[in-house]
Amino acid sequence: MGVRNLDRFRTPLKNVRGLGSAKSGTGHFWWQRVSAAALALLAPWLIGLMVALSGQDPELVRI
Amino acid sequence: MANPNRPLSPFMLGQAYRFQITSLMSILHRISGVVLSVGAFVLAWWLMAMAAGGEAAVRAHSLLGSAFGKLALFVFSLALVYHLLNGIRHLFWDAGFGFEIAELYRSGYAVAILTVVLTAAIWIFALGVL
Repeated sequence: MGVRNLDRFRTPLKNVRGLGSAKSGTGHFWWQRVSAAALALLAPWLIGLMVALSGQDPELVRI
Repeated sequence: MANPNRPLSPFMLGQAYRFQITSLMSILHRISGVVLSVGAFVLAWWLMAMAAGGEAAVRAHSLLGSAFGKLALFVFSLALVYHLLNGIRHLFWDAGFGFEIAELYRSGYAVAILTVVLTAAIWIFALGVL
């Protein structure tokens, strides 16, 4: 509903560019999703690494 | 001038609303995010100690291996698993899925149960109980 109302005040060009008043909202939104997806893959890797290293000798962990 | 007695929307927790898993999970997502931010500093400290090696590495290991260190690591792992799973739930919302109340509750309980199961699995493997 809110989106529909706002649309009436935007020119078609503005909609095509997808830019809000901050000029970088769409890019920030997308970068947030991309980094989230990357972290969703990297976090399990970190967990696996930490579990594998737990209880090991510090000198062994360094290798 | 703002009227100090103007009507305010009630806080999400307290007498105004019945307890619900949706608001609780939202709050926990924020809290776990803060815990992970603090944990990132500890992770960096641990990596630096490991890179330095020798006495620093031994000291870092004995600190993280102590009862307090293990407790901190447990909280960190719990926050990480919860934030990861609930973050995936958030990504589905961003894509426009799962907004029905029934779906929200189902995904919420799934995240809660998986968090407990996965965190338990991590510690069973880490402590070599199996």
